[in-house]
Amino acid sequence: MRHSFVLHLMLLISLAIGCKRQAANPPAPQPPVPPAVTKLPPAESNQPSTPVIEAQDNEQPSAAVPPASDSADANDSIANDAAEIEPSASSTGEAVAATERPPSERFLLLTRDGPLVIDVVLRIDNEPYTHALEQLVDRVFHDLEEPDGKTASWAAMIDDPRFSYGQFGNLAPEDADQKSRLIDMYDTNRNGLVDHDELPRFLTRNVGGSRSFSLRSSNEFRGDNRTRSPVRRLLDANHDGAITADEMQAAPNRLLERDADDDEILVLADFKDSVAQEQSQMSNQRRVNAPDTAILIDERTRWGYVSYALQETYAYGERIGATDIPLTPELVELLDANNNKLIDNNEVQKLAEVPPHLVLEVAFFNANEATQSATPRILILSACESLASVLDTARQHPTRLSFDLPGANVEFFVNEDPSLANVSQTINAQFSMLDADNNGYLDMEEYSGQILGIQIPFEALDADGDGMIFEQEVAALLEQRQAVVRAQIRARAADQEDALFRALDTNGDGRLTAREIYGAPAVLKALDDDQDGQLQSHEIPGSMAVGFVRGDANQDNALLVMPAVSRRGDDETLPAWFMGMDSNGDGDISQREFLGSREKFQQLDTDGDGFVSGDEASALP
Amino acid sequence: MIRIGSITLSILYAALSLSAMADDANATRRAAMIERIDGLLAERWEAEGIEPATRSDDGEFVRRIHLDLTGVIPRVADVREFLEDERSDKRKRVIEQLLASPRYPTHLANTWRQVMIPGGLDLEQLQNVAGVQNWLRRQFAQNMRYDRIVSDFLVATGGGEAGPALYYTSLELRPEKLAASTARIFLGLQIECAECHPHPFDHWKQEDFWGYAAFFARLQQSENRRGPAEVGLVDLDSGEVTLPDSETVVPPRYPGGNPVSKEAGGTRRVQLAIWMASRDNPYLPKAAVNRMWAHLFGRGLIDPVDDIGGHNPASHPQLFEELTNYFVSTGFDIKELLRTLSNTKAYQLSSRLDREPSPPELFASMAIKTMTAEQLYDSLDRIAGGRPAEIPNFLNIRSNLFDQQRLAFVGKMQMRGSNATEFDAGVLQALTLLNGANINAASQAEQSGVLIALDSPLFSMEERVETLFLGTLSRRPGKDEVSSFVAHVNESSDQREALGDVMWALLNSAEFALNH
Repeated sequence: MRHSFVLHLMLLISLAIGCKRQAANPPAPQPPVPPAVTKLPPAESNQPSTPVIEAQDNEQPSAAVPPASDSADANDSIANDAAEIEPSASSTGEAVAATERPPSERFLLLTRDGPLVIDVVLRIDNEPYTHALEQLVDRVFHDLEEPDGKTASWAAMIDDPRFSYGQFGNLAPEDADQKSRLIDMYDTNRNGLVDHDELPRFLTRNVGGSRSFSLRSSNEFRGDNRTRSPVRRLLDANHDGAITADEMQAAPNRLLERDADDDEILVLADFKDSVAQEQSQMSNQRRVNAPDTAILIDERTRWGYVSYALQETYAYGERIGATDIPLTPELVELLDANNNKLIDNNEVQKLAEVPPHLVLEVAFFNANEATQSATPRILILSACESLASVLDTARQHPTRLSFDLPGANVEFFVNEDPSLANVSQTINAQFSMLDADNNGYLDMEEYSGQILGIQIPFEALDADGDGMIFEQEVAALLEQRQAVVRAQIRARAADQEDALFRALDTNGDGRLTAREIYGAPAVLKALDDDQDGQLQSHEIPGSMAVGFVRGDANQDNALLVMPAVSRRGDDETLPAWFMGMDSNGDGDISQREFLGSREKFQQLDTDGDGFVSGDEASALP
Repeated sequence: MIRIGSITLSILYAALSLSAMADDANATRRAAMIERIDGLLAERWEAEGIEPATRSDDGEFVRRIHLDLTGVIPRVADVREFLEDERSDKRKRVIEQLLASPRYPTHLANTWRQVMIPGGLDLEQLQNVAGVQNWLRRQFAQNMRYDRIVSDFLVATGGGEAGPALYYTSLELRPEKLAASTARIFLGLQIECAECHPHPFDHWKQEDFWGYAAFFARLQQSENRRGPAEVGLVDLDSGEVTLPDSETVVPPRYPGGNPVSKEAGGTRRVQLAIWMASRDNPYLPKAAVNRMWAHLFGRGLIDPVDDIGGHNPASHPQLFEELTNYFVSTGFDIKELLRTLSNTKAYQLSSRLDREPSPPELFASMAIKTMTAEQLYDSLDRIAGGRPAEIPNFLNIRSNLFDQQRLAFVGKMQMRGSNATEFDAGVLQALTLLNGANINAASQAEQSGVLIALDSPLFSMEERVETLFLGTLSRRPGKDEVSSFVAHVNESSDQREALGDVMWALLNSAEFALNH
């Protein structure tokens, strides 16, 4: 909490020295639309400026529609962002308006042409993101208190049945040795008692550094996502390393070969064949000796590493000058305390203070009975002027957003374990499937020992021991088990696996839809920079992504793969019948999806492009 | 320059001409085979004094061909287009269209995967099963020669060919299990009956079985695996099989053939693979032809489909022989075989009869086949208006085998018998169908994509009812059906719900659940 406060203060201080922010109107939750941005004049300061672009008063940044019952809270919380600005002493001695801002985290994203300074405001269930874990720790600590008010011992706690298969997951020590090892692991001050500050480590099993937010990088596809692109390999039918004009024309048919369920929707996983093959490829990956793609800036930051990472990435190990980072050259001037036109090792710490290039908001919601389901969302709160042109063409979906930088595409996404997002619906679906005789409960015969992929003994679910598992019993236990993963947000930055897939996915929804599949030849041709009729790997724009996720860390392989945006089922601006008929959820009705006669299709398809779009459907009286 | 251009053009023209000539030759050969199949069947009908069924009507045909070639019933738009098409060769065209569809290799992979890994899907084996399935799909998508598929399958070691290697581990690398399974799948032989004693009906002896099993005696799981799901196989230099309860080593011997020549190089599996694809192996093309015939006609020319041998003659020996030769002459081309068979008059006969049916082995009417659990699920899914594709990203591989709901449905509905014309529906299956989430999703007004879509002002009530018939039964409703269903809906206080009732009734009809 204290750390967050310092960061917020730093953020505000930075406004005075480099980046003037207009008090933002609260971006009320809206259906997803591209964010409207406004350029603001540079700050009046002797310091080099990095003007900020923010949401216009009347056109707010996009956001998914949050749970109706929570929308007022959401508005309030964001509105406070602006109102909380109060005077405060800056590092330059100037006063800026500041008080506490909503908790955020800062990180550097090392894009091809320069590092971006990104602040991300994080929320869980409309609360500052740190609250959930703090509250959980408080609650557990309180629950553990002995009747006489004394603190519980670790030894007693490990024996508690709630730790074998109950509230805190499977942690049943098989013998005394295991038990003492467990105690060693979590009783960090060796006093034998469960202290308040030892609980986060225990509850999280040290995932994400036992903190509410963590960030890491992966070099898995670093610098290699164009040559090893599965889509490029598929389209390059003659294996000559380039996609020729003929291969461009043949691209739709080649792509459709992979559409195993013939729904004219392709996701990246459709281009892969077997788990074992994937694993063998993964284990063959070269270990890229390169700095991290993204670096968290907080009180634990190792500044020597930051300096090394920047120099290795942008200046062949030398100190960085403005020409080394053409995307964000102003950083040199902002950091250069000794005016030698270079960023010296001891100057990088100021990165904690400079104005951000981008401020994002990431929000997760806890499903409850009223909302049933609440999709996490990500949106841009503000951006500096140097990113204005790229943000004009940003593609925004509730769960992901992307924009193009010179030579590379950058995407941000949120994702969470579906069972967290949609507990009651998920349980209900599983229940109706398992409950063969439809009598409203599961008996021993019907229950296979696991639900939602989690092994849970029958007895653990049958809380009242009546030999029947009811839906509410499953829901209660799962909710307890999920409390910890709900309280942690983890992020990972990485080059995306397939840069060409990303380039063909022109609307950035993570899927190649019918329009994009049939439009592939034109996109491929446009990427051919030198117009020699062949698309070479180096002509494909690079692609990196930062994912923010909640869920079991063991599921990271699935969670940190950017999820495709599923159907537009929540777009209330379109007629319901249109949504129903758009069976593959790609936002168009193709001829084969259409349920009526050919004549009716032609009447609706007024632009004659072979699809009934949402606009065309809405025009139906 | 002009000259070079002319030469290039000439070469191109010559190449195109050759290709066209080859296509013509194939078409001629196919037409002759189609005529021959129909002729030989008709001869038998005449000899037996049997009147065949009439030609299937268009709705019956379009539903059947979609299910047989792509594993799922046609969309409403597919049915409309076919019914409205007035061209005389429209059946031929739709067959071509479906053979080119990406669902064709998916369905064949499904079919063969079920043959190779029968029974329910074991959750722990799911990754491996998906590997086999995806490998098979790639082979069928490229229309790989069938003998080549089998050879590759038999010599798989792992790595890039992890699919087939996983099949070996699913049988625990035990020579007798691999022998029994591969003989059934690729040779159509039940030689495992000779595992402990001579085959009761056929001529197989214990030595034949163990001689064949000896080809798999030197397999071992590689110790250099790089992950728990990775499968690698190595062929060792030693390892033998012995007759049960004895120490008599049985050297490798091809079924019904000679021992392996001493000059033969390669591992035992390579030796088997070479023989498998050679002209010395009479069983491979026979087994493939019989299986594909059964795939379309509901039962093989030899029944059961994997029990070929002198003890179990084909219903039409001449036809079986000629068709096998034809298959070999096409280069073991499975797609061409299916194309040929589905263009016959026999395949396009109706399943409806106004008299007592003739013996099924005479193929005088189309057999009524049960849908497999996967066909049923995928068809329901298609009608439900498509659920969002929320197939979990499981280790980055996408396969509908990982769809938990589909998995649970298939697990319950899995047929136990191997014969598609026998329906083994138990209470659990019936309950699943009546109460299952899929039926609910498809027939509840607020959930079903198709019902929500039909609420559009685009449609009259008659058109709505007609669309439901086209989407479920692939035919237009009769006048009586229209009037009674429309009356039911119009008289209801909640018309959307009443339309859901119509959908529910259609989905629970035998006409829906059967491939006829």
